[in-house]
Amino acid sequence: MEQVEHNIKIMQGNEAIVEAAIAAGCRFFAGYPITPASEIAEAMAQRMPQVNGVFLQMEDEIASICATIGASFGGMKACTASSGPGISLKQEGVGYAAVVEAPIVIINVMRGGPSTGMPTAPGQQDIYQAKYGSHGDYEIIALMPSSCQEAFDLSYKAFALAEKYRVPVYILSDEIVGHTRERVKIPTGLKPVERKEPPLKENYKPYEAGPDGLLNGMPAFNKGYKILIDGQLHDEEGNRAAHLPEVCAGLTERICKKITDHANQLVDIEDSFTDDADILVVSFGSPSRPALSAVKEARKKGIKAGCVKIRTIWPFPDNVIADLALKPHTIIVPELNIGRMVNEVKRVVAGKCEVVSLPKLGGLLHTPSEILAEIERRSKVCTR
Amino acid sequence: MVIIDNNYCKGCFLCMHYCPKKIIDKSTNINGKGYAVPYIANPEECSNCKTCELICPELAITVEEGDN
Amino acid sequence: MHPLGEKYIRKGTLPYLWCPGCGNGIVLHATLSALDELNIMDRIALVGGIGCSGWIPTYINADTMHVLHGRTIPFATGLKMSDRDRKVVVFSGDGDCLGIGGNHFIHGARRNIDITVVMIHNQIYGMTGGQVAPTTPYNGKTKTSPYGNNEPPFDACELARVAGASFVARWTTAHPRQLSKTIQEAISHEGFSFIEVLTQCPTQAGRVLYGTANAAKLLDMLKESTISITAAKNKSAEELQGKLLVGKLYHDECKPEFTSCYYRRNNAISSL
Repeated sequence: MEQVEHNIKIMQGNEAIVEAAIAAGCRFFAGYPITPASEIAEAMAQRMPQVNGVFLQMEDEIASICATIGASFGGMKACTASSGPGISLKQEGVGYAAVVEAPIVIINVMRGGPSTGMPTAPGQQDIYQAKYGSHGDYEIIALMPSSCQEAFDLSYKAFALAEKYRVPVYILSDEIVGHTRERVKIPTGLKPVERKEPPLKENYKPYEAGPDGLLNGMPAFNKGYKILIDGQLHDEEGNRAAHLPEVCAGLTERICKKITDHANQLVDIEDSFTDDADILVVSFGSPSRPALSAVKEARKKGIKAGCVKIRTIWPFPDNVIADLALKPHTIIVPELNIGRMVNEVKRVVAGKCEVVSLPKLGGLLHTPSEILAEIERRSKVCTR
Repeated sequence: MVIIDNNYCKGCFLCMHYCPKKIIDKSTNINGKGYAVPYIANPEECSNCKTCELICPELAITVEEGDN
Repeated sequence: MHPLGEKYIRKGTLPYLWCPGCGNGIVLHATLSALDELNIMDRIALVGGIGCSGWIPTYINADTMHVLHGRTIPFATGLKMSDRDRKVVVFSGDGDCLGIGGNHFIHGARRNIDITVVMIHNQIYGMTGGQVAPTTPYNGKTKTSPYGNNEPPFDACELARVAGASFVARWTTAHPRQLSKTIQEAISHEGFSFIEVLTQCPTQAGRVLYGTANAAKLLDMLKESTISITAAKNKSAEELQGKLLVGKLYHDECKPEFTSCYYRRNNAISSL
C-alpha cells in the first residue's frame, strides 16, 4: 500500500467533514442551525474566515441551499449542511441543482424522523429522500460514512465527484458519526479538488455534453461565458425548451444517465471475509461497525460470515452486490430505519439467495450481539 | 426619425397613446404575428423625444436623429 | 430592432413571450439602457424569479440565473459573496418577492447586502392566471378572491426601508426615463437597493381589477395614482389623498454594506 504522510487528529465526525471540505477547496458554506448538524456550521464559521472563505448563516434552510448554488456558479466550491427537517426544506433546491448541474455538496447528518422526530438520535431514514426527495426525474450521488475517518475521506471525495459529474453530492452521515470523536488521519499535502474551466470560445454552449453525458468543466459567472442558468428544462445553450419535447426528454435522460451509466466507476464498498461466506451482512453507515464486530464473533464460532460496507449508496452498486450474492445462502441487511435499503438488495439479488431485513428504529444503533444473534439464527435455519 | 420594426410589434399602441405630438396612428397593416401595427402619420411633427421608443415594450421602435 | 436589443438581447429569443402591452418589456428596456450607460455587462450577474417578470433577465445576454420561485435573493447572495466585485441585479414579481420570498426579502434588506432588487409590481399572480397577491388592493376581485380581497396589501417600499435597505425607490412603467436613471443609481449604490416598479398587466390585473385590457388606459391610471416625491412636497395632505409617492424615497450612502464588511473582517482574520 502506498505510504502517505499524514497528520493524526482527534476530531468529531462533523468537524472532520469541515476539515475535508476546506482541504478540498470548498470556500463557501451557507447553513442554518439544526441538531445534530450544528457543529458543521460552527466549525465552518470558525474556519472559513481563516482561509478567506465565506460562511453565511442564512435566514432559513431554503436560503442556504440557494445561496450555495449561487456561490457555485459564482466560482466557489460550495456546500451546505443540515438534518431531517432542514433537508426536507432544501429539496426544491436539490432538484434545481440537479437540472442546472450545479456541483454542490449537501451534508445530511441524519436524525430519526419523520418530522422533528428525534433531533439528538441517529437514523438512516433519509436514504430514499436523498435519491427521490425533489420532484421530477434526476439522479444524485450519495456517500455514507461510518466513522470520522470516512467522514473526512468521503467528504473530500464528494467535492471531487460533484465537480466531475456536475451533480449535487450528498454526504449521508448520521448523529453517531457526527458526534463521535475519534482518530482521523489527514494526509499532508492534500491538494484542493480541481475545478475545470471550460474553454472560452465564441458561442459557448453551457449544456453541450460529451458522449458520456458529462459537461466539459464548470463555467463561472463574469468570466466571459455569458451563460443562462435556468431551472426550466433547457437546450444546450441554456434556453427554455419546454415547447420542445425531444430536447426536454433528452435533458432529463442525460442528467439521470450521466450518473447511472457511471455506476460501476462510482462503486465504493469495503468487504471483509466475503470469499467463503455463507452469510453476508450488507450494511452502510454506522451499523456497519457492529456488523463487522458481529461477523468477527461469528467467525470465532465457526460460522462463515462476511460483511460488505457500502460507502457509495447512490447510485446503488447493483452489479457488485449481485455478484456477491452468488455464494452465500443469506444476506442480512441491518439499517436504522424500517427496512429500506433491503429492498435495493432484494432487487439486485433477484432471488439468488435469501435477503433478511434487520431494521432498528427508535434512535439506537444495533449492538454487535443483535446482529450476531441474527447471523446465528440464519446459520441454523440454513444448515442442512 | 421614428423607425418601427413591425416584426416585433404586438400592436399595443402605447407609442401612439404617449406620443406628445400625436404623430403615430393605427395602420390597416397586419404583421406576420397577426397584430395590427402603427405607422407614422405625421413624420414632420416628430421632435425626436424618444417617448415612443422608451414606452414600447418590445424594443420595436428606434428613434434616430434626423427628419423622418 | 432597437440597437440595445441588437447589442444585448440573447440571439433568437425575441419577440418576448409577454402579452401585448405588458410592462415587463418597458422595465427590460430601462434596464438595458442603465446597464449600457454603466458599461458594466462584464461585472453584472442577473437573477430572475418565477413569474412573468422573472423572465426579464433571461432575455439579456449576460451571466443570468433564472431561479426558484421566491428565492432570487438567496441565489443573489451566493453570487455576490463569491465575488465581491460582482454587481447583482434581481428581477422579482410582487408575489415572488413579497409572498413566497418575503422572508428572504426582509433578510436581504436587513443585511444591506449589495444587491439591486427590481420588484415588478402588477398587483396579481399573472402567469398562473390571475390570483390574489400580497399586493392586491383591498376588496380587489381576482380568481382566488372572487368576493373581494379580505387582506390589506403590503407597502413594499416601506417594508424594505424598515427592514434595512439603504436605497429605496418607486416608479411606474409610465416613467421609463426616470426608472432607467434610478436603476443606474441603484446599481451604483453600495448596499441593498430596492426599486418597486408599478406596472400594467392588461391580461390579468387589467381585466379583473380595473375592467380593461387596454394597456394605455391602465398606464394612465397608474400615472394618475402617483405623484413624484418632489411635487408632493408642496401639496397638502388632502391633495395627496390616494396618491402613491414615486421617486427616490430613501437613500443612505453611509450604511455599512454586508459583503465589504464581511471581507474586511475576513482579511483581518486570515492574515493573522
